[in-house]
Amino acid sequence: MIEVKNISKEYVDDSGFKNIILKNVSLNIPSEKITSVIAPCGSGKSTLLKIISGLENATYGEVIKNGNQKIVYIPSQPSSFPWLNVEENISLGLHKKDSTKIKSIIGFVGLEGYESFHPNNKSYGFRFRIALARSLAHHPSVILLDDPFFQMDVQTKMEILFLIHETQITFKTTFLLATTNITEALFLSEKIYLMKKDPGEIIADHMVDLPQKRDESIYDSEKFIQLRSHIEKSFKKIDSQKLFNLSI
Amino acid sequence: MKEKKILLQNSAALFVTLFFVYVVLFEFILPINKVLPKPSSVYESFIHIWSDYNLLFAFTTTTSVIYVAIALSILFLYAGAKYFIKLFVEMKYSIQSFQIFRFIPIFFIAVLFNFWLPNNLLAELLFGFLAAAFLALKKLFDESMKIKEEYLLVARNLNLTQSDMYKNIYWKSSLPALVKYYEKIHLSLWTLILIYEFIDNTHGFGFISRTALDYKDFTALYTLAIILSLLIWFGNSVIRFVNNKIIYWSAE
Repeated sequence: MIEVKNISKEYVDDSGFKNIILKNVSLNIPSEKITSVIAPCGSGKSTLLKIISGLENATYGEVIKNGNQKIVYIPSQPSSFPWLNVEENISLGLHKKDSTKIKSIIGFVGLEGYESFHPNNKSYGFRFRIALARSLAHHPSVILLDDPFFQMDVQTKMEILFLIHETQITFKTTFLLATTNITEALFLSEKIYLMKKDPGEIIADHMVDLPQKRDESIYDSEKFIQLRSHIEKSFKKIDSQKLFNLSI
Repeated sequence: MKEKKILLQNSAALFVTLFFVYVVLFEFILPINKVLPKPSSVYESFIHIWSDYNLLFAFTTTTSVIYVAIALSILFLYAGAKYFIKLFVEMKYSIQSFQIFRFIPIFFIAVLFNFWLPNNLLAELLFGFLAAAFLALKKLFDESMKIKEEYLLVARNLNLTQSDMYKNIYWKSSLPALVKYYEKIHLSLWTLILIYEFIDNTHGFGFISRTALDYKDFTALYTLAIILSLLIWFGNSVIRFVNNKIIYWSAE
């Protein structure tokens, strides 16, 4: 479990103006579950994830972790290094390379047969699989996904959605997903936080009471539709100008 | 592939047409002029330059200086990449302040080298090496500052050491642009070394160009220009070929 307590992020720009990116953001990220933060573009989702992963410092507030948890952050542009092949990308940063384990992870994310391929100019889906496999190779306690479906076509989006779901079930990994998309977040998560922009602030949270094992049929279930409608209504309560770019 | 073939065909057609126009115009219609020499005299001039201007010696010295300087600059950069990048990243603002020196013409530095160490082939090589290394380092600095934020985030998140980041992330990310830039360095170095030899006036293509100018040897100047163009084109093609073999990725 990770507890994010009253995180605020501020910076003073060149003209001396104080910008507030995040204001008193508090979250509970339960272990071995997928939690989502749904927020419009430019609301500080990436900043929040970077603070949780320790890549950035908060101006105020704290992130409370259980012991020495390994938190891996996957950026919205899933970064694979084009000068390394798939296998080298996945084992980057490992002190002890366990070939059997790397091979099994490669198979799990669907990259079998591509081990010696270089990811240069490959699709977002391909690069996301590499990023996810690299994260898994590091035995993470928590994986932070920053808008992973950004710029993916519909089919790839579905494949990746199922891959994340399968990963969580198989590896019992904790995920925190930051997204603009209500449907994707609902499909994957067991808990959802809604965040507004200017400044980024949590406005509501919802438990997703859907079966743990999910498939495409869930989209048509009454519960799913009700939850989506409920979340949409929560967002509509706040200034619509602060919600542009939020997709359904 | 098809586009490349069409481009090659078009270039060849353009060359043949221009060559035909040149031969007809300057061999038969305007044989005496101050714009371009007669084609037949250019042909004869090749033999004349070979013997009278000692073309082989000039070729050996100039090309040795240029390509040894390039090779040394590559070795220098490769050996010190990690340390240069560390310096660039940690002291980027201090390094940027050196920009005030960018208005100093390199011509002046060539003059100074000639003043300090006249008639010295090693001084010329040192000048060539410094010019190539400086241009390559400047490009490495620019590329290190442009590195994708995602690369750094992932590398930091994977707990790569600073040393690994400089060597495996910054350096590798900068390589495609840097290697491509060597084509520009090659062209610049040809110009700089020719200027150096022109001032030095003792050896190399710069020296024979100056001698031809002093003797008002109009045809020899044109012939030299053709020889130099062919050499630069050939050198550039070799560098491009090697680059394409070494660098199989782009920085995305």
